[in-house]
Amino acid sequence: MASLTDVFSVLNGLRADGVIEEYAVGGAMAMVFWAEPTATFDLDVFVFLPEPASLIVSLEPLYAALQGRGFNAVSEHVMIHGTPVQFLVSPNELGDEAIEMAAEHELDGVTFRVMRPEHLCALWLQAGGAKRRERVEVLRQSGVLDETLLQRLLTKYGIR
Amino acid sequence: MTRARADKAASRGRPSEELLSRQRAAKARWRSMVARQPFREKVAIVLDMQKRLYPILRGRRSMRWWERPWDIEP
Repeated sequence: MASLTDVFSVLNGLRADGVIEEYAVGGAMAMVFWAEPTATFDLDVFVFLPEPASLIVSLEPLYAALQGRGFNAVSEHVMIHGTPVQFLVSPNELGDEAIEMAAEHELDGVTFRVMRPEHLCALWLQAGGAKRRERVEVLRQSGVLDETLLQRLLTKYGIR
Repeated sequence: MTRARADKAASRGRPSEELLSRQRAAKARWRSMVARQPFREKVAIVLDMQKRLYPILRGRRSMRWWERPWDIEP
């Protein structure tokens, strides 16, 4: 049976083949990495796509590359080795920084990149919503947050 | 609030600030301890949560195609 390392291997392969420039795991599974487990049914992966020919971003080349590897996209999710993955293009400069500054870790010899807790919190506070604010509090109580860095991010990106 | 309910509320014992503070600290310690667990163990918990949550959610609403327990091992 496959495991998350197989999913991370696919992500690393996409990057090596130039299908994506870079990636970082975000969302609930990133919170699981840094803090306590939470119920989730998908894996959010934020990506930089190669320079597009136009300003309109399309995930079709990424989906086509995944299809070529045997993983089909259905309604914005791709089932990769038994895990539904949603690919999200970095929406703004904060997202860019979160991907660029992501922490690199290793699981069974496979490296993967996960957004740092301060960037996760800043993104959640920027997006707003009760559930996201609750996640910020969970990360805060887990003792993994650098509050100074988080405040710097909130100021830098004008997040209240 | 009715008068009777207000009287009952006023006569109930309440936790002290010290007790509340201790309980909050205990919760924070627990969260910190769980946060330090190996990722693989936390993934195993997520997979278990999915298996328990799925039949409950399915009974309440229609699920999207990808909303089901992951077919992976931790």
